[in-house]
Amino acid sequence: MVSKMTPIEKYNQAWLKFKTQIAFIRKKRFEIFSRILKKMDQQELEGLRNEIKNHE
Amino acid sequence: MNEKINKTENVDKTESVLSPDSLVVQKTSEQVRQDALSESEEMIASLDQDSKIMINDIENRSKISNLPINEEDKAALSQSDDDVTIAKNKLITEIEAATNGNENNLEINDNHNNEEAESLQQERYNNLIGRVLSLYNLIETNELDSESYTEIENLITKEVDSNIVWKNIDEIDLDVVEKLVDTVFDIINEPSQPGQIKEDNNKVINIDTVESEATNERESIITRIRMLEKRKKIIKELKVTDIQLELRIEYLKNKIADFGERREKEIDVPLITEAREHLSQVLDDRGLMTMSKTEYEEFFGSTDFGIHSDLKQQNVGDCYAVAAIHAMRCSPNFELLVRTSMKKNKDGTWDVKIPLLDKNGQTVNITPEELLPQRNEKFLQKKGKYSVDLRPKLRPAAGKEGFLVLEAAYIKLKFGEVDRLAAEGGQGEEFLKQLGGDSFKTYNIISSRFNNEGEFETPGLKTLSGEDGYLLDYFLENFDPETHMATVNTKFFNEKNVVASIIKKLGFYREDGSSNFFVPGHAYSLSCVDKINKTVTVNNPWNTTKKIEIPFDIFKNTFSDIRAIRIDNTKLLNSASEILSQAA
Repeated sequence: MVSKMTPIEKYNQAWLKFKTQIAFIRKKRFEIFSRILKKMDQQELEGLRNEIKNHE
Repeated sequence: MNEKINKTENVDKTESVLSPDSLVVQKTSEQVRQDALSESEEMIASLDQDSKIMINDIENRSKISNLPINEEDKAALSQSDDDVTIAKNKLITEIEAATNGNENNLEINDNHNNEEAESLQQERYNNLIGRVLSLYNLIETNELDSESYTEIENLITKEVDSNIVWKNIDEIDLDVVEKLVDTVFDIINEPSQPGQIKEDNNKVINIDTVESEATNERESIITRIRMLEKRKKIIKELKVTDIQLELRIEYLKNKIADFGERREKEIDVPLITEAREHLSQVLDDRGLMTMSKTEYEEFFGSTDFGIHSDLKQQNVGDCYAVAAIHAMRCSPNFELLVRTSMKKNKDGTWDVKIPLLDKNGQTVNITPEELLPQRNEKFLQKKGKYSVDLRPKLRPAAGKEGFLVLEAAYIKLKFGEVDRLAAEGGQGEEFLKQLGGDSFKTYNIISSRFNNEGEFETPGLKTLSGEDGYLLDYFLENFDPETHMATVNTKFFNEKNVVASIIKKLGFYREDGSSNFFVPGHAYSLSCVDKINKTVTVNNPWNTTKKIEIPFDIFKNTFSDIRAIRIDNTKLLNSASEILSQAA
């Protein structure tokens, strides 16, 4: 017995695949953003700490 | 391609499908195709939009703080853009393939002979798809912490072939998938709630707490830096060298000595009174007084029966001078001071020797014209920010002539002429010190100061503590007209807040518990202290005949500074004796 997927199932399948990929891309992208911001925070804090050190 | 689509539509006009949002709806295959394409566009646009906002923020911050973005991060962002394009292309390709009907790999052999088993398998598959879809929703709404994400991602890539979920139902090992889905659900449900993160030791921490801690840390660092900058500036300004330290020690020594002196007990008061009366009598008898008793009563009014003559400040802002004259008038030394130092000449002019009762004093001549109202040079000129000087003439204080002469003599000695405008604004003790010379010693108790922001503030005498607080109580408990002459200043209100602004506009204020209104930023004379009932009597220079008696605590609340002098009675009596010996 041979069963075949209907076009709707195929579209659906392709769509779900795409949706998953985009969700992961979105997540990864936010991680990159937060990484960049975290680095900036660290650099800024480091700068402030150095400033305090210089004052002391 | 359209023809092919139509062909497909003919094959399955409508079908019950699972839409991306897990709802079972009736859609044609073309609708599903179009929806997939348009929704993919929307999804990419939304992702781009979100990213654009974040990238802008990051770039702005990078510019402001001069913090460059790492090349690695830039590359990762660019890779992410490529990934979107790849995903989009893949979607289009797959949809096209499905439309063309040439997707061979979807055609499979069915090994299940048992229809019941097949339907069970189908049901299981459908359930599984439903669960997977809700997983996508969870992932997409970004309600997971990064740790869970990584875990899920690893599971999917490591344990299962990445295509397994999308293969035909018969090719899928549903057990594996089910296990995977269960695990993923466990991961999602088990750890922390959205807004929480897990530490290494599995302790759950709320992100809000972490963020607020970080903000507090940042603020405290900034405050600390500002404090240090201020300290550095102060140190720089002070330049604490050895010499300055010596000066500081010297200053402290003087302050201690001064403190000791202030606490010093006065010579027995009845003794002073007796000595002064005796001296006055001798001076009078020998004709050494410049003013007779009759003249004194004419020019200053009699103090018999305790009635002090009228003295009222007019439209000149020299409340401190009028208050100081009134304070002097309350002193038992006043008569001796003015009768030995003031003289009215036959031409109507006055000679005033300042300091009073000082044989080396400078004679100031006051003409009758100088006691008349003056033309105001600044009439109709702008006064302050919003007002105009509306006084065509500046009038001297109203009262007996002698008081007017004292007011004019002080102004003339200080400014070279009787310039009443120049005399506006000052301190009572300056007036007293100038008239009394070395016999008067400054005795100020001051709460007004410049705060850390450089603003002038008058918190009130009640705020004084330590040495100053002690001196204030000592002053009130030991106030004696024989020894002290004092003016007191009310609080000053700038338009910093609504209440202060209203007080400034009204021109008077009242402290809690007080039944009297006081004029802000104004000098009053302190005429009497009742140590038993703990009350202070003050007089407004606007009308010195009216006594305002207030309890100590209200006095401390209402007034900000005591501007006083302490009479060195020994020195004063010696000065009087010198007049005698000089005559001899």
